[in-house]
Order: sequence, then C-alpha cells, then structure tokens
Amino acid sequence: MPLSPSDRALGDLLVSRQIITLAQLDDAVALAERWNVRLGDAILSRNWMDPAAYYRGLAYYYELPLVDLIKEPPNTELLRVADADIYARQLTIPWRRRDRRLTIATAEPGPETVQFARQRWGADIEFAVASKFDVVWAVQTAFADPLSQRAVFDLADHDPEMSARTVVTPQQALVIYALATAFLGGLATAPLATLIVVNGFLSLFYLGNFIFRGALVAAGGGRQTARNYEIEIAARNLREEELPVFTVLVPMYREAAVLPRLAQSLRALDYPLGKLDIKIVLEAGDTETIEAARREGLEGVFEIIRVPPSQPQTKPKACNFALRFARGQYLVIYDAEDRPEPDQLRKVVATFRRLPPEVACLQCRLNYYNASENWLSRLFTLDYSLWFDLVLPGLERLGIPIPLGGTSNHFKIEVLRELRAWDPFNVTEDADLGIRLSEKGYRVSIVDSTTFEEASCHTRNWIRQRSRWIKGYMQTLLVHTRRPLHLIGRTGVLGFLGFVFFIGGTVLSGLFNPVFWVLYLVWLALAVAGFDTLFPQALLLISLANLLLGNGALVFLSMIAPLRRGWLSLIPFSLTAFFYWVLISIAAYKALWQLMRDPFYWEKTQHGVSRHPSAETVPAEGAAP
Amino acid sequence: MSRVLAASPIGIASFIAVLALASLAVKGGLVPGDTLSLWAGSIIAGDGQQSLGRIVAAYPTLPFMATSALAFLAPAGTPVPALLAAALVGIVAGFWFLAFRSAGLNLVVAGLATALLAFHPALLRAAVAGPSEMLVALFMFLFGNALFDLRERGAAPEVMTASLALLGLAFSQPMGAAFACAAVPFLVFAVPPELVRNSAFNVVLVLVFPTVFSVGAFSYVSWVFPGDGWSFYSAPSQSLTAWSIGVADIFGGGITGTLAVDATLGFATALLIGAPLAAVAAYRVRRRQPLLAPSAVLAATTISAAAISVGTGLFGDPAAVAVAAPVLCAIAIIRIPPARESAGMMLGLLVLGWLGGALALTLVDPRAATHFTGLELALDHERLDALDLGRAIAKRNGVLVDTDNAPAVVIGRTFANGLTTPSDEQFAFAILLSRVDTPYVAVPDPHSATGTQDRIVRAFPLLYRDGTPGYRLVYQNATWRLFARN
Repeated sequence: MPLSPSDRALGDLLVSRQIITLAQLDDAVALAERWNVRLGDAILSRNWMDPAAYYRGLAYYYELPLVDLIKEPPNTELLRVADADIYARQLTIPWRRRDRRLTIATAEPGPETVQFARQRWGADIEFAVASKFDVVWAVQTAFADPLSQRAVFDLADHDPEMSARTVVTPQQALVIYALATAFLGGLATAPLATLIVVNGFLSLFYLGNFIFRGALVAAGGGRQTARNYEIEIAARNLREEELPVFTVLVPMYREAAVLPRLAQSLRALDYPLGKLDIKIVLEAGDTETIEAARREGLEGVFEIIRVPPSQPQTKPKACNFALRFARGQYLVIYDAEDRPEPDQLRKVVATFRRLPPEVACLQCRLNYYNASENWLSRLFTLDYSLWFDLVLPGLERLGIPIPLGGTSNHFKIEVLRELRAWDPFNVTEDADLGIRLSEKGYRVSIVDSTTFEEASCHTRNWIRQRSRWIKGYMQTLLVHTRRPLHLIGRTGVLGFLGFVFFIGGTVLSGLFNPVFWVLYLVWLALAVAGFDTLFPQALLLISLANLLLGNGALVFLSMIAPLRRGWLSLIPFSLTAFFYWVLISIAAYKALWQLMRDPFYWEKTQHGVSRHPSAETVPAEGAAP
Repeated sequence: MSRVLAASPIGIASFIAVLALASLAVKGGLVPGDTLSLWAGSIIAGDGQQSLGRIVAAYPTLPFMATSALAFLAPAGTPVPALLAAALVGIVAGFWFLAFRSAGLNLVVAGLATALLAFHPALLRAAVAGPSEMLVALFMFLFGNALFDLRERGAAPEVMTASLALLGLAFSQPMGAAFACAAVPFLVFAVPPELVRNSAFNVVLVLVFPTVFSVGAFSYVSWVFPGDGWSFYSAPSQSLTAWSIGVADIFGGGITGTLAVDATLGFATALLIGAPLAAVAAYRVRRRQPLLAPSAVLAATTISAAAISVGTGLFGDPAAVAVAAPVLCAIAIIRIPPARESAGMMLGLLVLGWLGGALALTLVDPRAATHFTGLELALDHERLDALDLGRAIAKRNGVLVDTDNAPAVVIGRTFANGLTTPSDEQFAFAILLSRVDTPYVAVPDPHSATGTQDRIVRAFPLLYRDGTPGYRLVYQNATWRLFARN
C-alpha cells in the first residue's frame, strides 16, 4: 500500500529536522508500505529515534500542541470506564475541556482519528498529540481500580458457573458429602464389599485411562504431514501487508534477568514488527522488572502494562487486565523465557484462515531447550513431547476438548473477549479456557510450530510448578462437572469422557498411585494373603493389567514421544519414568492440600535458572537436544 | 463402509472354504497337537473350569484368549480353532483385497491375486494348523507393512505398529517369539538411516521394549500364579524332534549334515519358490533401499527364525514361519510398485508361487507331507481313541483325566464341566497322595505314546492293567480304559 501523503510529509519533516537520516526514511517508507502500517509504526519498530522526538515531530507537523499525560493527566470527569477499551485501542482519550471545547489527546493524529473523534464526541473538539506510552499510561492510571476489578470479577459476575471463584458449589458439596457418607457407611456395615467396590471403580478408571491415552497417541501420531506442509507454504506466501495486527502478551513477575532474551526472541519473529502489539505485563509492585524494562530501551512496539495490586495475584488476572489494551486481531501469550519458532505467527494466521470460523484458538507445540540439563529436565521433556506432540493432536483428531497448555495459545481476540477471557481464580486458566471454548461451541486446533521453554530442572521448583498445574486441573474438573449434562450436550459423550479421563485421570492417578504402590509393595514383601479378598478374580485381572501392561504402555509411550524430534538420546530415560511418577504424586498431594487451604495461590515457577543459555534454542526437528 | 462391503465377498468366500478345509482336517486328525491343546484349554477356560492363574499364564496367550472367548460364546461342539483360523483367513483376504484395490489393481486382478494368496499352500497349512499360526501370519503381515512405513517416516505411529506387531508375534506362537528374537539385529536396516546414525541402540530399544517388557510381565504373572516362573514355557522340544524326524524321513542326512544350516537353506529355498513375485520385485528395486530393505528384513528374519528355532531347540517346529511366502507376496504387491506393473506377470508369478508353495511344504513341514502320503498315522489313532473316550464320558461327571496330556478327550466330550483336570486341586491331590476318590478315572495304556506322558499313569502305574479296589471297568478302547466307582 502506498504511503499516505501526510505520512510522506511527516517523513520529510523528520529528515529535514535531522531526527532520522534520509536512508532511514527510505527504509521506513519501504517497510511501512510493505507492512501496510503508518510511517511512525515502522520508524518506532526499528528504534531509529526516541519516541518522544517522534511525537514532537508529529505535533509540529500537524501544528498541534504536544501534551505530557503523565505530568498533566486527563480530567477524570471526562472519562468513562466503559470506554477504557476504546481509549486504549484507538490511542485517543479526552483530556481537558477549554472554553467548552473538548481537547482530545491522541497518539495517532490524522483523518481517521478526526472522523472517529467527531462521531464519538461531536464536532466541538480540538486535538493535542500525546505519545502512545502516555495514552496507555493515562488509561491505566485513570482506571486502575475499575479495570483491575473487572479483570478479577468479570467472568465470575457474568458466568459464575464457569468460574473457579467458588471452589465447590453447594450441589457439589452435597454430592461429595453423600459419597463420603456412603463410603463410611459402607465401611461400617460391609467393609469388604465397600473396599472391593472402590477398588473396582479405581481399577476400571485406571484401565480406561490407559486405553484412552493409548488411543490418543495412536490417533495423534498419525500423518499430519500434508496439512503441515500446506500451512507452511501458505504461511510463507502470506504478504506482509495482509498480515493483521497481532497482540503478544508476556506476563512477567520478578524476571528482570530474562527480559533481554525475551526481547530478542520477539524481535526474531518473522512478522512485521510494526504489526506487533507487544505488551509486557508487569505487576505494579514489581519495580525491579519495570526498571529493567525501562533500562532496556525497548522499541516502541513494546508496551509495558502495569497491573495494579489486587487479589488474587495470578497470571490470568494480569492477562485480563492487559487484554483491555490489546489492539490486535489475534492474541498470543508467551512466557518470559519462551523462544517461539520465528514463523509461528505467520503459521497461526495461515491456519486461522484455512480452518472453519468456529476454530477460535490455536495451540502451538511446547518443548524445552534445556532438555539435556539433568535427569529431571530429560523426563520433563519426554513428558512434554508426549503431551504436545502426540496427545494433544490426538485430542484434536478425536474431537475432545483440548486443555490449553501454558503458553503459545493464539486466540481470535473477539472470541476471547466474548468469553470474558481467563478465569483469574483458576491456576491453570489456560486449560480451563480450552474446555470453556469447547463448551461455548468453539474449537481449538493444533499448529505445527514449537515454542521452546526452560524446563524446571530443580526438584523443588518442578514440584511447585506441577502442584500448581494439578491444583488447576482439580479446579477445572470441579468447574466443568457442575453441569455434566450441559457439557455432554456441547462436547458429546466422547468429549465428556475424554475430558474426565484426561483431566480427572491426571489428578486421580497422581493421588491414588502411591496407594496402589504401597499395597503392592506390602503384598510383595510380606506375601500376605489379607489382600486377596480385596481382589476377586476379575478385579485381580484388571489390576494386574493396569500394573503391568498399563505402566509398561505408559513407559512405551514416553519412549516414542521424542521420535518426532529425533531426540533419541532421551529414550533410555523413559525406563526411569517411575521415579518421575513419584514426583507427580508428591505434587498431586501438595496440590490437594493447597486446594483446601489456599485455592487461588499461584505457585510461581522460577525461570532463568537453567545453565543452558538462550542461544541454544533448538531447531524444531531433527536436532539432538 | 462401502470398502468393507466390497471386500466382504472374497473375505466370506475365503472364510467358508478354509472353514470347510479346517473342519475336514479336524475330522481327519491332521490338526497339530498344539492346536488340540489350545482347543481343549479354551473349552476348559470357557466352562470356568480353569483357575485365573492358569488363564493369565496360558501360552500362546493371544490364540488362547481368542479361542477361549469364542468357546465361551459358541455352542458346545463347535470346532472353535477352525472357526477362528478361518475367520482370520477371511479378514486377511479381505484386507489384502482392499489394499490391492487401493494400490490400483482392477477388480478382477485384485480378486485373482487375493485368491491365489489366500489359498496359497503355506497359508492353508497355517489355517489348518489353527489360530496360532494364522495369528503369526496376520502379525507378520502387519510387521512387514509397518517396516515400509518405518523406513519411510520413522515416526511414533510406525514405531508403535512395528513394536506391537512384534509383541503380537511373540505371544501368538513359539515360532512367533523366535521371529521376534530373530528380527532384532535386522531392525536397524528397516528404520531411516538418520535415526540409526543418531542412535541405533535406542531405536531398537523402542522397537523391542513392548515385547521384552511383556515377556517379563508374563513371566512374573506366571511365577506368581502357577508357582513356576517359566511354567508357560512348556518346552516345545517334542514338536522340533518330530519335525527333525520328518526331515530325516524325507531327506535322510540332509545337505550339510547340520540341521540348523539345512533348515536355513530349506526355508530360504521355500521362500524363493513360494514367493517368486517378492523375489522378482526385490530384484527390480535392488537400488532403491527404502523399498528393498523392508522386504529383505522380513525375509532374512524369517530364515533366521527357522535357524534359531532349529539351532537352539527353544521354539519348536519351525514350520509356522513358512507362511511368510504369501505374506511377502502380498506386501510386495501393496508396497513395491514394480511388482504390480504388469498384471499378467504378477498373476503368473503368483501361480508359480502357488505351485512352489505346494512343493515347499515338503521342505518346511515334512510331517504334513508324511500325513498326506499316509506314512505316519499311528499317533492319530490314539487321538481318535481319545475323541471316542470323550464322547463316551459325555454324560458322566467327576471323571479324573489328564487333559493336558490328552486334550482330545475334552474336544470329544465338547465341554469341560464334570471333568477333574490338572487345573483342579482334586487332581493334584489325587496325584500327590496316589489316591483316587472321584466317581470315574480314565487312564491310557502305559505302552501307548499317550500313556508315556500321562500323569495318572505315572501316579498309578498298574491302574490300566489291574484297575483299583472299589472301581470297575465301564469302558475301553485301543488306548483308554475308564473305571467307575462301585
């Protein structure tokens, strides 16, 4: 798209005032035309000049005053909280009223803004220029409390059944109470029969879980090569001018050290920087990271969103807050230590365009760049490879709701807003959102692009992270089983069973594995016959199948998981998976304890502790870790 | 669904033809002893007469489970192994037909090719031999097919299929286990070279893990229940001995004088003449490794399995892997395009393979050849006697009889309720205490082939001749006597 006359004139002005060089202008014009963005976005995305100088030049060109919204904040009486989203997205905000004329501060002066402002605030207005940073800052400052309030309670107020704010509903409590009573009553009156029934239920559940996982891997490992190639070619052929604005949310907390690496990874994305709406989402009290971000001197496309302090202090709440300021057509979340493959956003755009409109979210594969650091990181990598490379594609293929994983979930932003975004009370808000999308009639699909992360390689850190995940799964299970018939109606019987086995299976196996291990060890060591009555013949058969074939199958699935990436050196470590399962069980009990004591507490995972530097980001396929 | 319907006529036709043939073989006493044991065991298990321990430790596991399930559902007297084997032939034939059609063969050519392979002498031999050998054929086909996929892509599903096919082979028949063992050194040739370069050992580890783990688990279960870690492994040396005698009867001292080497040569020749289509196809793609390697691995594994079995004596009669000939031909048609370029040549080679397969039976299964020429029928008379005994005790309950040694008794009776068999504690006590207190006791002639292995004969050496106090003779034939309590 050719540059607008006003942008051309602005460019000439900036050169004449020696703010940028002629060569830079030529490059900026070429970029702006190629990306189909304003000249300012192209210049600021390259960091060729101080944003303040740019906005000064802009004000000079349009013969408008330049205002500093930090020193002279907008008159709050002119602002409406309901319009906060609009101010943030249009980068235009009512500032002051002078002689009955309303002054509008904008970071994007021009004919479109004039038209928009007149429609919104009438003809009796005048304009001033403010920097993008100032406008966003002003909105955050003016609406800190109401926006924070909305970030926390929006979902819970509008769709309370879907929120984990209430951990257990009265009906659920009644069911749990009834089951506990029946169990205790059974123990008192017919202890053996009761234990056999419980044992039988758990054994069948285990069996179903093993079969289900095997089926998922068989379905998920199937040939997707053709589709992946098509997407890859389509992504490469996308012209930059037709790419939409993409919002990238990066919630961080006390992670100043990884900021430079994060910025580098985002710059490496094969996507026009001028079309990236990058928001580094920081807690207002995290001065260390805020200062580090300022020192870093990031390009204009990087915005810092300060989340006001409130409870619960969780990542989803921070993301909900930041979502108000998002300007993209699509939105993705990355963690601070993430290294997405450069063509990921292009593939996402290409995939969204090829899939039916009900596909509202795309999950990319996740894996680790520090797989070979120690035993734990290796097992964690096997776990992730199984999960993202085989199991999630299986869920997609079988039409089972996909619990989104951690980061690299790409959303259609309007659907995200329609669903009232993430549940700040759920500590695996992503998994919950994946299920909620299915419940609301949308679909999640998988994209063959990998984001590399840092595996927790210290046991305590790992247990903290895993306990949060399992606690979140418990919350998700409780939330989405409140209306089981509704869930069945939306996702089908297979979808419902898949959800129960997938989420419930993870939780229950973590909790009950140690019980069965101890039973088995006692039986083995003491050769006592006391357990025999607990295991009638049919049940014994199932239990044996679970113990031997089930666990063997899980080890085997771990073994085949790294094949896709050619990480064969990890294969023998699958044989030690049992010890990894022990850690999972420890995390499961910690999760259960926390669910009862402090359900919304966010166990923070320490990042940046790996000895493997970011330069070791592993290519997607074919490379050894 | 329409594809399944298209394949059903040829599948059903194969099923009916093979069922008729297998039923004739059952009546003619041509069914191997292993199959009779399997059949009897499945009737006992189906009637709930077998302990859980013996069920979970039964070997070969897959045919035992399948036959038991079918015996439980089918009316008494149904020739369950024949039914199952025929069903497997029908499934294999239907699948081949579909695969041939997908590969581009027209209806007539695909039908003819399927018929020539489904009625290939080696496959018919496997069908008559029972479900164990048909399962070997089925898993061998899955394995061979998976090898092509493995070589092409080497991703998780392909590895899963190949691994599970090896597992299926190991638990279908002792020779299937030999095949799984023999496959190990060749597996590296069937995976993409880049994976082998990366770590050959780990690739093989993944491929054999399910089999190794399952054998370990099976040994453990077998140890926990019957009390002997390797009780499932009833040394199949007898069948190997019989095979060796058959070889000696026909070929005398053999070619080299070493049985294992002779077996290698014999099976290689049998494959060559039984599957000339595969040999020609392999020659035509000799410079195209991805097409050549999987076929070569399958052939080499088959020949090695026979050599291992004969060389070690651990896996019994090697004839079961002779079924590789039609399997190789089917795989060649499906996976190697030059094999199906000319329909005329392909069918001609299949006809040649059919004739070669009939000839090759003499090489790989000399016992079957002697059966057909009527040279050796002594053992079959005893089997017929056992069947007669079974029919005679159909209305009697509480019959003490060693059904492990004479499974035909159970088959003749058609149901196991009312028999006191080695699965029962009462049987163990009778042997241990040398005291009979069941209403009936059946005992074979100690001088017969059956009698030499019978546990009742060993516990009561004079029972057959003199009877025992308190019991009277109520039935006898050339091999068996039945005593009833007064």
